Amino acid sequence: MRIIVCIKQILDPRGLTVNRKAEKVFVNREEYLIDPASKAALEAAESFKGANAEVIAISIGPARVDEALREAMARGADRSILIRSDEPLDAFVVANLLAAAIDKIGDVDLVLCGDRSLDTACGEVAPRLAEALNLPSILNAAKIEIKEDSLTATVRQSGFLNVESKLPAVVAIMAEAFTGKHASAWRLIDAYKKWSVETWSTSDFGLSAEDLHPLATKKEVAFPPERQFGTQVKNAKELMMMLKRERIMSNE
Amino acid sequence: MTRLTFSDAPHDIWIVAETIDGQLTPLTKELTYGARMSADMMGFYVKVALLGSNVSELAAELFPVGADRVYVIDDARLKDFSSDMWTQALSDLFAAQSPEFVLFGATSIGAAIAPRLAQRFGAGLISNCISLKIDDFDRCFIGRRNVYGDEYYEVMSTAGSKSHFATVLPDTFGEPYPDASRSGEVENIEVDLNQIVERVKSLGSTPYELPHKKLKQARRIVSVGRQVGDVEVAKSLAQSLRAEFAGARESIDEGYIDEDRVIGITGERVAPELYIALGIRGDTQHLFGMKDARYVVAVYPESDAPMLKHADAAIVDDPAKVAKELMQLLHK
Repeated sequence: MRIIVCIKQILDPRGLTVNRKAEKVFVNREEYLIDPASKAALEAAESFKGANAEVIAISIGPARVDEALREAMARGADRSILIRSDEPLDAFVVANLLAAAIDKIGDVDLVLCGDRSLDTACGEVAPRLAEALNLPSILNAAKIEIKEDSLTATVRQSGFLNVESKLPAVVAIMAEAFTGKHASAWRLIDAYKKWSVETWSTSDFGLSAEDLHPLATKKEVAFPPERQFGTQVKNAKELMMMLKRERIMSNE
Repeated sequence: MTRLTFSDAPHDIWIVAETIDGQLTPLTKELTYGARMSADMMGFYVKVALLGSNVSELAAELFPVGADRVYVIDDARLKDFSSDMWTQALSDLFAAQSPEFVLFGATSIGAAIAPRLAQRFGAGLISNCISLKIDDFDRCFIGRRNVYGDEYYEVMSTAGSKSHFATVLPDTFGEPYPDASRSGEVENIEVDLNQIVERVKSLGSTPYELPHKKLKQARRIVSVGRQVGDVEVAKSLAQSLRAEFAGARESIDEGYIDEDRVIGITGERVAPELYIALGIRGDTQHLFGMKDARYVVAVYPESDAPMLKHADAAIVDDPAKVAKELMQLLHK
């Protein structure tokens, strides 16, 4: 069985300071990390490795994404592919590129994505990719099980729901499903010293200029009004009164 | 990929309606109303795609909030939402009508079908908009969306694409102001759903618990940072409030908490009724993890801490002292 995991690398928000008054985002430390939802998708894929699954991680972006893919290998991916692109992309182009790469790899049984990334939280790539590959899509999944040629997923709606689909399928895993497992130390060393990331180019797939042209573009950033100081409270007694008034605390 | 084609005639804004328990959702009416406001400026018509089973009579409710024409696709197979059926029904409708601007609710339905249809028709899509307008110069959507929670916004544009889609969050356009004298037309559309097999089947609800649910489901949390002063006091405050004890990432270094008790971007995101932050300065990373809390109390020794700005009640004082006093009041 062959599983593809689509990885998104995001700017680490710990290095950001948002100054609403100055209407600026200051990047103090430019560091990147694997998006938490992609990490959850990797973890889900890794759980099938006992069942002889081959896990391939794919990402798109500039050279710095190499690091995310090495971490993906440390977290269980057998191969990793970077589609090199230095252009700003939107979900339309990302889905076209991923679909083309997945077609090129061939014989894919399952495609996993993160459901919503921490930065933009659009959740567009999984359903778009399913459309481009003409596959069923399951969104907001917390857990998946595979039985022969079909898959059962536990998805969050108002509560949790089991859904079933034939393979191949595209499943988006939510970030909250991540159990917090660390990468194995040996794999981590191998990922940096022994293994390498395959690099493909956006021109490898015979996609038209139209397929590679973003349809939604970022114009600028904007800021909500500066947050106001909360109600100043003098001491614990006043605080207690406020908590009671707000019905946060009854007489206990 | 089939691109939608347009004549030079004035065009229209579409809304994909959603129903719940046989009623239109409030968001559907809000979107129709929002579309009306833009349509009046652009000289457009407002059209609604209403899908479902026995939904025809709901069309009349859409005219007062701004619809000019409602396209009803009434089919028993559309009763419950199904991604493949809805995508196909809308795809047939869009191919016939070539909508230039389409609004979806930023709901689980919108999230499932808007990206699919946008991919199919090569439409520019802005997801989860918190404000949206039609730019009359570029003739496209300009929409804002949240980045990193709601730290700041990105202003997105669909300029350059032929058709424009957006999914929109509630409260973007505000409460509709209905005009009972307005009327419109209803058109019933037949689509052929016989060829469509829903590929994802529901097996019904299931009990399931996400990992780390203890903090996530906590109703009260006492959280500490480097400046807490005396962590034991904070712990006993948590106990007397029957609250979970947690902390900002920096308090791991101080030995106050373990890895599984960290609140923030790289830890847990929580939404308790009451969140008491003791000695937490409140960097972006931490604020992201607790901003959904209903009521936030912050105690910090210096008045310039960002945490104080994110609190409903802020005290500039020694956290351990305040915690001790609070405990005394609790036990009295």
